Amino acid sequence: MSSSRIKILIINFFLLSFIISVKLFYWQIISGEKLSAQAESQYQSLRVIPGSRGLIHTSDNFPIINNREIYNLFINQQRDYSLSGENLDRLVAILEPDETLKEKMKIEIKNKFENRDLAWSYLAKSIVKEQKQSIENLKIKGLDFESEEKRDYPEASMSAHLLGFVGKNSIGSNQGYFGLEGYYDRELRSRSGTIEMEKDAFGISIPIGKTVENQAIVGRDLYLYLDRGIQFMVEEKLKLALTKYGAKAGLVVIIDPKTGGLISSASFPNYDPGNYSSTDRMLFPDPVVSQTFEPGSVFKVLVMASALNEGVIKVDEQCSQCFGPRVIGEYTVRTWDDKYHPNSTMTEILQHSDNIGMVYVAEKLGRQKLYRDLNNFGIGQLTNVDLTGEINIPLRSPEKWADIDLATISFGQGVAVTPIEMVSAVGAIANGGKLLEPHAVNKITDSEKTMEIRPKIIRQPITETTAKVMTELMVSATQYGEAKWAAPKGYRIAGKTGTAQIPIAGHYDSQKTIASFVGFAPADNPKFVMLVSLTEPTSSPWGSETAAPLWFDIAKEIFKIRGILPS
Amino acid sequence: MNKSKNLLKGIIGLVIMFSVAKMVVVSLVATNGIEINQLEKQTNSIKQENKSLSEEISRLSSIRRVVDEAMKLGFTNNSPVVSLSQAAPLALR
Repeated sequence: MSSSRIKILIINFFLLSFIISVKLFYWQIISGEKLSAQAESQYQSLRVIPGSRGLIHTSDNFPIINNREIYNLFINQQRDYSLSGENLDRLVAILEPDETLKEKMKIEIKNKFENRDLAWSYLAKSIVKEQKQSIENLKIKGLDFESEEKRDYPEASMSAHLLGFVGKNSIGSNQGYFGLEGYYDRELRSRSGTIEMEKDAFGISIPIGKTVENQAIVGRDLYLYLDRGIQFMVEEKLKLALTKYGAKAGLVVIIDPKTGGLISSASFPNYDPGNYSSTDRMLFPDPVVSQTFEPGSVFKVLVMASALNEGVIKVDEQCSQCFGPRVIGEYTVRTWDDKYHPNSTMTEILQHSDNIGMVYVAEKLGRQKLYRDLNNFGIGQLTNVDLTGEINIPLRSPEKWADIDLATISFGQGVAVTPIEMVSAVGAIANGGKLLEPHAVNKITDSEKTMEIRPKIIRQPITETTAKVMTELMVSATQYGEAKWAAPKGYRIAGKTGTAQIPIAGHYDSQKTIASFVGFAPADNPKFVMLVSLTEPTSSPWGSETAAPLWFDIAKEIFKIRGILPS
Repeated sequence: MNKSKNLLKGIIGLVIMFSVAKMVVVSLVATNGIEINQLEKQTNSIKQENKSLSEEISRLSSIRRVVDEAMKLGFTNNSPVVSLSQAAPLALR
């Protein structure tokens, strides 16, 4: 071969190499990222692993809030644009049980199917598993499902206010509102995970390929103090009582005096948390923590306990002013029945629920001490119960009290408390003088650990001795007071009736009352503290004739359920 | 010279042997993808089934349902507890 041909060959060789190099540089460096991404999209698969929101269990480990899988039905581009009449009828029959709405749904679905500009659209949401299977059996081309989780309530609307509900926030994610769902939203919330894997041309994953996994985070579970059996019974009895006494609303709250645990919390009217979107939002806040009321005579136990604890009165001391109405400034204070009992002892003052006697006690205590002691009982403060929406109305400073304010506070008017405040304060009397922080949740668990929420003593407003003395006064008030006719035999119950007028537009309504009874039993070793409150009972305005019988009725059932024997 | 030639042949032989072995293992494992996929599907299906059954158990053991079923079976509300008083007086003679 001549040397010129060899040279030409060499030049061509280098030229070819250069071209190849340039091409390689272009594909690997300049277009490298883009091509890499395209290739990844072909062999990389990304699967989302959904995380489940935490469950909520009652004290018997029953999931009072569960999760249920639901499906959203949609059409895609692979559909047959003309859906047959028979299939359309069958599909609508599965999706819409209401005959009056079937025609409308048929037209909507038909239009969506036939609209060629529509690549994708929902046909129906929140379908259950059985409906999904029926639709799949129709074998209609172009239908597909996406699954999501929805809260399920096996006990329907039981303790709706306590539990709250899960809705969507502004970015469309699940968020808890009100009650426990709202308070513990962060603990209950889950986070979806992802698995990135390499797959072959058939979509089968390649085990030795690159795998990147982000674990899904499952929400933590809550375990409550709530006793499901007692809650059911309480709700049944409260519903009947609202009808029997013609009351506008009512609530019952029961706590364990030793732990502060919320054994039961019921209030009506309530709502269905599974169907919250069609509920009047005024019903969402839990009245037990989010509404205040003037407690009336049930408040007397706190004032009396404070006075005994301060040593300003003795149990057998006689009231020197209880012979008739008291004039204070421009006001006249009377007893509830306009009957007067001269020289009443403290025991008799509570038995008769004597307003004049309570004014005597409050004046002996003085406004500064009364203010301080009521604050010690947690009145006017947040209890820090683990529920969303708790409110408090602080007591006015004693410097701003007129003489009449001292008088009215002594019998529970002119002061506003939430039910949880009231029952917790009385719980201190039942618990040897120690005020506990109330709690709905007993423990929080996840896959790795269990966190127990221990009972927390806030402070000791009264001594143990005062608590015992006060207990006996309350037992006597129950045994010999106006509600004695309804009290169950054989049990020592420490309690107090209350009938408070409702303030409306700067004055008290003469007809409308809030009837209450607060107490604990058995008096010697209290197992529960309960507050019953009925708003505007029409059969009788008096607590002794409405709230007290209901309290005793519920208590009898609790004795049976918990195996509490008579004294 | 012979020794180094033999050594070289040995090394090349080892490299070829390990390469072949790796190819065999990789191809065996790589084709397990189908099995893994099937096992994953089975696992998911069993998990779904578990979840459905747990929902069903919750629904069936709700107190309202138990009360309704008990009423249908003829159970009634329990009667009030009767408290007996202290020991009955005994006649000694």
